[in-house]
Amino acid sequence: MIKKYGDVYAGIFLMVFAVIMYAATYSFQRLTVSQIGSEFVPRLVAIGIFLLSLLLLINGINHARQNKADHAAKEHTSEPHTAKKSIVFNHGSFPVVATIVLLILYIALIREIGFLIMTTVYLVLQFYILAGKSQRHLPLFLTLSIAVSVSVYYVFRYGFNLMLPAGIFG
Amino acid sequence: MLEMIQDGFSAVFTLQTMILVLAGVALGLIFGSIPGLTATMAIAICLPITFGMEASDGMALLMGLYIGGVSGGLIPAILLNLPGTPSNISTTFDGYPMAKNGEAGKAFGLAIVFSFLGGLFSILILMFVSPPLAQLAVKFGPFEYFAVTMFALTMISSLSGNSILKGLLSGLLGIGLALVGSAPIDAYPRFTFGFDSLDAGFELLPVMIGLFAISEVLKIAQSQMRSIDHTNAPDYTIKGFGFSLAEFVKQRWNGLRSALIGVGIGILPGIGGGTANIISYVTAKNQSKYPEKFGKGYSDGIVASETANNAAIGGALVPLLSLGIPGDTVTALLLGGLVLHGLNPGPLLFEQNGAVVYVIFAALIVANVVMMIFLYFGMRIFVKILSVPQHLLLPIILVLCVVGAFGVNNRLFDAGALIFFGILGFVLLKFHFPITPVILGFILGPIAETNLRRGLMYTQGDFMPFLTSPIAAIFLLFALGSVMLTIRRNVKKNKESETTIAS
Repeated sequence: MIKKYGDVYAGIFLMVFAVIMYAATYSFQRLTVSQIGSEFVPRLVAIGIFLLSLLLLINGINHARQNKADHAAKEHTSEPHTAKKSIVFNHGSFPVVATIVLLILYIALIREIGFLIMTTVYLVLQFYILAGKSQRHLPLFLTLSIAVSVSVYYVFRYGFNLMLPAGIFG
Repeated sequence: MLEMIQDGFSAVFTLQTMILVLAGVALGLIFGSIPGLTATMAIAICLPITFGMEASDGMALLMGLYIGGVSGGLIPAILLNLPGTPSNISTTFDGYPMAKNGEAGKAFGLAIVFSFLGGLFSILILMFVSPPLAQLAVKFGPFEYFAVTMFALTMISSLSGNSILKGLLSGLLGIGLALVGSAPIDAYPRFTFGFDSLDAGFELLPVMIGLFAISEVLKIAQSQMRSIDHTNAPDYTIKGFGFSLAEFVKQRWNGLRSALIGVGIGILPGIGGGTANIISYVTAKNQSKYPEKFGKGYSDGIVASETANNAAIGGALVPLLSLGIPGDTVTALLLGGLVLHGLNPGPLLFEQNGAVVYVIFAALIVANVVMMIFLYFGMRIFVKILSVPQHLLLPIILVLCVVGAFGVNNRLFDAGALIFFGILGFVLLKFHFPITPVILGFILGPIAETNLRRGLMYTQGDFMPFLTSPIAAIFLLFALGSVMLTIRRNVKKNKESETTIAS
């Protein structure tokens, strides 16, 4: 999907983004009496994004059309192999989505629960997500997670004076 | 100047700073040698650590990381046919065939020695070129500064990535992200939507770590985790340097040309070691009497690639130190490092913090020597580290990123911003937008805006002086020219591909 219509989606999204950005500049207030105020550059940037993404959208549509035409021509001669591609994509996107969700949870809970526990839990789960089936090895994951979170905690706390959230231990 | 250099060296030759340089080079070599991890990532993760240090110590560590990160990639390039970083792509062309022919020792010897020489050459150029350049740039007013920044921005946008449209859009997005928070000059809070946390804008560090490190980790997570198989790597032994004096002398012109190419490409904004090694390799091949030997395990190929990528280091630092304009991702991060330490990057750096600049020079030279020694005697250890599986490495890197972002201001908001920028970077990569222009837009946008508004205050709203100041006009012309040239090249390329489709 991204390969075929990526530029179209990106173009539409960025155009909407530019319009919102431009509209938001109307609430800016003038604090100086100079010729251009704080809204000048944001507007310029918004206009730039709008025009360039319009070009991107046009290019994208042309490409998608061309691809479609090519595809139609190909389908007469050979088997379509789009189904195979989408399976690969689905398989690949699971670790990414899971990693993002895990990272968000990690940061959301770290203040309440504390760095040591959250980091250990996060690391074990993250190892699981990224490891292949044959590489899943809980004892190793647990030891490594505990070792990493404890050493990072103490190195940053006492070496670099960074107060990481202590959470329920604190 | 000689005295300043001496002071720089004596600052580096203290126990604490030396340990930092050594640790930096070692860590850089590890990051450089593991495919998927780069010097950029090493610096992004270590930046927060430099917080608590003196500026000169922090810079010494970062320079070690830079040199190590660029050099480490030669190990997997030669042994496994996998470039450790984009800077080593053309090292694989002749390095791996040499290793297969049983000449891995010679390949390593040449790669290491010429990496050292290329690096040294470029550091010397940096030391002699950047101070006078900075002196010239001190006279720049807002018009000139605005023009130089615009030039750097357009160069970067048009050179990085394949599509100039996407490059420019990335650059504008970066400027847009930098607009969040207090405006320059009048400090009006823009695009904060009522969130107090946004009043100061996004911190540079979470933006950089998110865009570079997190997005890269997500990308690796998606592309099937594979651990590197090094069981069938060719064995190697090095005797002495691995090559004879006669062979070394034979490479002198090739080495010099490659070093010059590396420095030149390093200086240009937007491209660095990743491009330098390929251009240098192709040039060496075209100039050679035996072009047919390239790709089959020919010494000249390794020399060309490895000299150029290390020579790009000094080149890339020239615009950073003398103008405060980063040319690529690594120097953008180094710029962030300078800013974090309260140093004022740009021509004034030499006047206000000259001592730090000369520590940077000295640290680079020392790190360059350390790199050579580490690679010679630690080769077996680095090869072992290559086999650490990525599914164990990446999560630990993510934790370090979160800790680093949190450490900026001790607030979780920055860690949240880190994740946001990580996802943004990943989405941009998925849609084939280059990331480097985003970060450079983020850094250079505010500089451009400040100088534009300051300049217009001088002239009371008249745009003409931006065009009538000769230096400003030349840079704006260059900026326009670089965009035009890329557009023409793209159109040509499109036409060619269309004709091939048609025929």
